[in-house]
Amino acid sequence: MDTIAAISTPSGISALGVIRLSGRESIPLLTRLFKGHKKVSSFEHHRAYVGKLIDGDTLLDDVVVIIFKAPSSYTGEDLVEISCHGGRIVLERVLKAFFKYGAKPAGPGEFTQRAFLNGKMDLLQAEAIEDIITAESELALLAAQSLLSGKLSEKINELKTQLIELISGFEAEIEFPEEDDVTDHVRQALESRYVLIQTIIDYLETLSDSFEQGMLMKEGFTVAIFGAPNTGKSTLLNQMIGFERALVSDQPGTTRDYIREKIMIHGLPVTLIDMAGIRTDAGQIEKEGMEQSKRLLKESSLALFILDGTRPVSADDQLALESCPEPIPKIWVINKIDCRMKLSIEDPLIKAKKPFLISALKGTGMRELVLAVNESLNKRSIPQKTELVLTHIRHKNSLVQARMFLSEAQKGIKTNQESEIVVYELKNALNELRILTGEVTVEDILSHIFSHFCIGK
Amino acid sequence: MNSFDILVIGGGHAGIEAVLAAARMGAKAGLITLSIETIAEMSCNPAIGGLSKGHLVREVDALGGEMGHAIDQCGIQFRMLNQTKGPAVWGPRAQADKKAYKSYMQEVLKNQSNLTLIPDGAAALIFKDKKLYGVETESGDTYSAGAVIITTGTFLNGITHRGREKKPEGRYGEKPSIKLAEFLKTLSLKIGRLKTGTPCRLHKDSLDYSRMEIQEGDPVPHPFSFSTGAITQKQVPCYLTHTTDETKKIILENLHLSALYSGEIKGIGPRYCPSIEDKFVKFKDKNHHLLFIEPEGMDSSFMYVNGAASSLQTDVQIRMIRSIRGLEKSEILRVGYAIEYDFVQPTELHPHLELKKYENLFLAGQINGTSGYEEAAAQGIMAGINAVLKLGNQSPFVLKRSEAYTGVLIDDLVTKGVDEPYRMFTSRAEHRLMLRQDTADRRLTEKGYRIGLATHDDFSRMKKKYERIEHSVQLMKKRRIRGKTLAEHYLVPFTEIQSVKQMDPSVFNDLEAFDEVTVFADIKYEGYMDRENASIRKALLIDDRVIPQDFCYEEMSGLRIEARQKFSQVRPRNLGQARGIPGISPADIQMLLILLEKRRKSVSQKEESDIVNFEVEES
Repeated sequence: MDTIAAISTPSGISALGVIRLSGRESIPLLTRLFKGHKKVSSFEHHRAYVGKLIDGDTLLDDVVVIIFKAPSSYTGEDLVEISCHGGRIVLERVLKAFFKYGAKPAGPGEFTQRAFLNGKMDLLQAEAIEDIITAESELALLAAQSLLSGKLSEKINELKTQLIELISGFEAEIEFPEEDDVTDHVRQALESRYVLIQTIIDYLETLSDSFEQGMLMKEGFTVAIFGAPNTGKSTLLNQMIGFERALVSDQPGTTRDYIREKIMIHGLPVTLIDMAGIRTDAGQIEKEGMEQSKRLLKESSLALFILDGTRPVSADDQLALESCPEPIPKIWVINKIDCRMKLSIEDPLIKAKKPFLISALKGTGMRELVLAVNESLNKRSIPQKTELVLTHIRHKNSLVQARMFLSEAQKGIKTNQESEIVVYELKNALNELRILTGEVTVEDILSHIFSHFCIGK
Repeated sequence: MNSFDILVIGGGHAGIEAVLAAARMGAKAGLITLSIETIAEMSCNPAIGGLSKGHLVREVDALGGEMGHAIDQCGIQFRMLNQTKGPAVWGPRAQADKKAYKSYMQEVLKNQSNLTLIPDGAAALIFKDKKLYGVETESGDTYSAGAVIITTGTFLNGITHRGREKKPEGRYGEKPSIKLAEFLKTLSLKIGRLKTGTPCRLHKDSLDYSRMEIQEGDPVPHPFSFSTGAITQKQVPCYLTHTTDETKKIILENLHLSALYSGEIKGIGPRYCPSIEDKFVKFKDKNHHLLFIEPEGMDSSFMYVNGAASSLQTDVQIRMIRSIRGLEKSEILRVGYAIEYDFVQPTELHPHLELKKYENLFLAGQINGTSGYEEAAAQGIMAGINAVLKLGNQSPFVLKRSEAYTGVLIDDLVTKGVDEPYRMFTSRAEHRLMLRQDTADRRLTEKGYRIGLATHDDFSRMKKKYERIEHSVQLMKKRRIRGKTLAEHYLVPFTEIQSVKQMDPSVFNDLEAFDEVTVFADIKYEGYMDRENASIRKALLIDDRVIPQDFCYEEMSGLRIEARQKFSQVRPRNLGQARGIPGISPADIQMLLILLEKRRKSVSQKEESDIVNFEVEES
């Protein structure tokens, strides 16, 4: 395998920058460039050494170096960590020198990938590392850490054990139809097996339902801003970005495209979406935009419904409101209160919605609105901190598949299907869980049978 | 002339099938056996078949072997086990008349052309210029052979135990194979020690059957061989009884007098065939154990006490047996004993049962760490076939796990090795629904015919049978009654076969005796077969993945060091072959697949950070 090298700290100006090398050549490569009081060959594992990196006559940088010898390193290979001075130019010059002598640029996630391949972590944990690195909020970090600590693996293993027990019961009846110990077991068995399958199904359901929550923790909430055209939606969006940047966030929002903006509201990652205006006499292109708006609204955690205070409620406003599905919580906002109001805020129908009065242009009322948004999102299912949540579609798919096979097994029991067919479905379910964590062999099932039934004529 | 194409050492159930297969395929074959009178001896229980073992017998028969014919001729009680479950897990089983079975097999061997019986013990193999040359016997004769198949069963360094009493025996009253065992130890093979046991035999006239439950055979016996039309001989009953509180007391008080618990026995015994001592020790809460009293023959006075294998000291064993309900006054004809013997770790073998280190030397049966007559026979026929193919420079005949229990059995042995006597189970076959006992001929007879073992009659009988069956299956899918086809009616839960047949009996008119089972099973399992086929194809897709010959395993730090060494030694051409390498686990294959995938990606210059974009299907 190639020896890989990469800058491990983010780009931008900083005091220090770290370069990592991993692979068989990483220590020889360091030896080639390092000049210090001690020789690299005398370096102790896990200790820091000061020196210079020099390529020919060129001083690359003053550095601190730590070597980690295989297999006691993050990747399980020989690994070198070099602390250089920060700054792109220095770091890239050092990196290029390593490339010149044979290191290869690391692919995205390749250090973690090697750690997985070298058996330093299981698949679920490798996925967690990725999540931790990219976590954008405390909640996302929490979900990732619970994955890393192996809580999901633990739970899945527990379910696997239950399934193996179930399968063993059926298999014992198939393999040893003449054993009294086994037939004793059968009499009360079917009903309780059905119930056990149901508890597994219930748990799998809860777990796969938590995927949505996991995605919220990982990706954050989506807040849609919608309403009739020209009610000031884009102005509100801009205002919220600016407001929040000034108020809470030292992290810049990552602009992806025109209508989506990611911001932090009191530690919650939130994606703001500025919708196309919705109106009755729309042209073909606008209609497509409106269709998209409806879809986006459906997937939002919260919607801000904007009314223009300078005009009475119109058919367009009605249409816009109707485009938002009922279950999505809405906050009513009346904009442009710095202008002359023509909308009757005393109208009982409007008053009942407790609208927020703002001027997106001037920033009036923004603090209250943002607080309300935060409060509403907080109410939306912030999970118990100990609860397991799924954060990967791969995990969800396996669990959904497993659940399907379990339902088939239940159906089989109910309709008096032969036990080898019920077992077939149960084994398929077991395989799905196996795909998540590791291997289950037929030996597991036989071992279980032998430790729990007295077999053998 | 002392020159043979193929020599088989040992006349047990593996040796018989091996030497018959060789002779029938046209090789000049010889069988070296300690005694011609004990050829085909059933050392332990007087029965052939059972769950998954019945499958094996039918597969041996489908390929052109003898075991199925023999038991159909010599069975004295036939039962199809598991009929309350689906036909995929039915298990044909028959009590055998031990004496009749032996003489039947001995006659077959004597009348087989190309086959010579050599009553002698094998003492050593002869190598010339590092090539296998032949066999030297205990009486000093030399026989040359192109290939040798060793099927020594429990005879290699066999020692029997009854309490503290030890005897060098290969079986009750028969001398073991010591010289050959010593010779094999010089071959630098991995050799281990296993243990098995057998219960005592009682005189049939000394038992009180009124205190036992009668177990009759099936009213219409299912034959084992696909060529047997019907079983017509008389059937006799077996009896069920159970141990008493007194039995438990005697055993627990005298454990120190059992060879197993006194530490005399070092070999590892099978979990599924425990001694009666084992049962009481391991399952302390259970006070009574079920026992089966089985006749050893139509005219034999021996009754076999199935479930009471023991290595207790003789006098204790007699007391123990007489504490069992109905056996109070029993006359003990032979006490039970445990036996230890040498076996060769089967990971030393290729999937076609030839030793990797010694060309043209094959092993089959209990010497490979298995237990059971049927497991032995299945290996025997495969070893015989492959020895002949080897001498003819033809490619090996290996059955896939998705084709036959025989394939599962041998693949398990050579891939995983054994740490206890290996017994077949239907649950070992991951494609169990595809491997029904009633379709062994559909799966294997054509193959047996093509390699020159199954006869043309076997082949055309099989063809005709499945024409009849397919015809009925198609009619069931076409004929409609009350808006539904017969097939659809049958798939409605709780529907009985009988009621479907009454809907339109003409659909089933052309069927012969046991065809019906297959017709209805084909309908019932069709959907599952499709799913199975899809997953097999997926697995084969992985198995057929080519591994580049320059693949540098030494640098693949993801692989276990042992796996790296084995891969680079063998340099498998594809993943299927890699999977067959002993000591390689499914996890190793999964890792290899990941590494191959990585290499493919880096070669195609498409860096990919997601390491989780493919799944491995275990074949």
